[in-house]
Amino acid sequence: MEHLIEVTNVSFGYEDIPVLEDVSLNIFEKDFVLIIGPNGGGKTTLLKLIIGIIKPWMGSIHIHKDVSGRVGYVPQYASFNRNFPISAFEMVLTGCINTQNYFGKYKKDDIEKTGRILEKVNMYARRHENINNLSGGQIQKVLIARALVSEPLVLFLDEPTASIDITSKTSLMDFLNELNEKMAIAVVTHDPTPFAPTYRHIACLNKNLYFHERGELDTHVLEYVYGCPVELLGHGIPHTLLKKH
Amino acid sequence: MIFQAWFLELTLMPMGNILSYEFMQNAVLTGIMASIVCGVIGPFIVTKRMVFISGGLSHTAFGGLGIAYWLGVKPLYGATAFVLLSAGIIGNLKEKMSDLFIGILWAVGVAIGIIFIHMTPGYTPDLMTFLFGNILMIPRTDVIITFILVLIVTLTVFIFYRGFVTITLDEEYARARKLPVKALNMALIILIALSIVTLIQVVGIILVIALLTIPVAVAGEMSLNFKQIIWLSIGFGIIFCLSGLFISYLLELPSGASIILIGGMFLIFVKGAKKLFPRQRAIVSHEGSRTKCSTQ
Repeated sequence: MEHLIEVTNVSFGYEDIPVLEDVSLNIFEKDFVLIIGPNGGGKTTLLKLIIGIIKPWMGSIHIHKDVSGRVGYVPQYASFNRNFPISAFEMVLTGCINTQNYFGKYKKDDIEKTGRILEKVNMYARRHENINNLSGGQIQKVLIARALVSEPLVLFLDEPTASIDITSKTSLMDFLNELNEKMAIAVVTHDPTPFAPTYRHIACLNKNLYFHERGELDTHVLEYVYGCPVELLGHGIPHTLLKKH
Repeated sequence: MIFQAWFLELTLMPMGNILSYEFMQNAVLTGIMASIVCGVIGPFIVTKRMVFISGGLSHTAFGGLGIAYWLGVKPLYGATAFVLLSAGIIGNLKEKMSDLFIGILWAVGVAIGIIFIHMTPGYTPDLMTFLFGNILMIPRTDVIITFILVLIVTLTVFIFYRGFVTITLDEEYARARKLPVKALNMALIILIALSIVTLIQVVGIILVIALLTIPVAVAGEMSLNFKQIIWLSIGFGIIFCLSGLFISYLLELPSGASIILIGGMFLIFVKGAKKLFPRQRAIVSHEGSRTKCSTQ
């Protein structure tokens, strides 16, 4: 498998306080990476560094040429300006925006693509609805659609299961699996259980990062990262996060 | 008897007659242009929560006015220079510090103005005009300057509309899409500064915020679509400016305050009407089986 994104020896912090130290991570083509760790461990920060929202203190983040501009990002759902009056359709349309086209008008192609993707996430019927009238799960679908409209090769999701109920969770998992056939997926979460059947790599992050292949992770690493014993699902394939113990 | 005579004069006065005065033509033209600027830039200010920044920018204009009086140059130039300079400072403030420093800039700007006006010998006749605006006293040259400012603001927003919408809606996402977020933010603040210079002539430094926000607030009560809000704000701005202008002319009231009060009363009226007659969200059932919800 080919590398899409290489993070090498990255350090970063806010003000003078380091949040990430010497973090390295690779994302392959059609990979499924889980990034877990305690609150304040730097999960979201790492995501923002990879996406380019913030710049690292040290180290390098290499995004392969054909991937650049084709990185999808689904933030935690409350992070956009809820004050802004916008419909679901227009929200997804803003996903087409890039450095070349932030002036001028949307192309016909962008509008068609937006319609197709809204259909795919089952939100086409509610496309004219104001974003503030939608439920948490529906807003998340819109945000995923916004990330998908730029036809990404890697899709990053920040706590995608935080604001949705069990049924939405299951359909989200199915949808991500389907997407995974075409693109790499990286998920930041403190709730890795629903991803257990599908993940390929898992990264435990608490300032330092411990990167593992599927089934390699053991309780010692987790205890070390979280600083206390933690319970994660670990019994038999396919629902396994931990290696046999 | 006096009232009757006044009323007779009022009813007999033909509209065309008023508009034949050059000062009235200038006032109407400036009012319309100010409304366009408000409608174009106001919705961004309101949704991006930049009302405080706008207040700060407009008050720093007072410092520029003071220095312009002292130097004996055209006050509008002094105000423009100061507002643009403040925009440059505010645009470079870190987000955490911006609230604090905008407040300081606000007061320091006014203080500079007071000192320089105090040092200027003689009477400063149109000082009140700049504090509270007088749309009836705008000379033709200022109408042309205003026209150029309005053209710059409107064209820039038209060209970079998508960029401005994206940074207002979700700045982080705009960064993720690699847009020049810092430059766009700076451009937006400079456009606000230019709009404020335009509006100071109409309603004055102190009342500028009202003209930037009231039309948007009224429009926001009626639409949930950003583009529609822009068009509606322009429309309401024109209604407020022209009716305020007309009333201030007839009743000999200060024009800036009249415009704002009409806008304020209109907003209360619209809010009240919405409270009294809420949109029907009633569930109407047909033949006991199908349930139809109407929201709009």
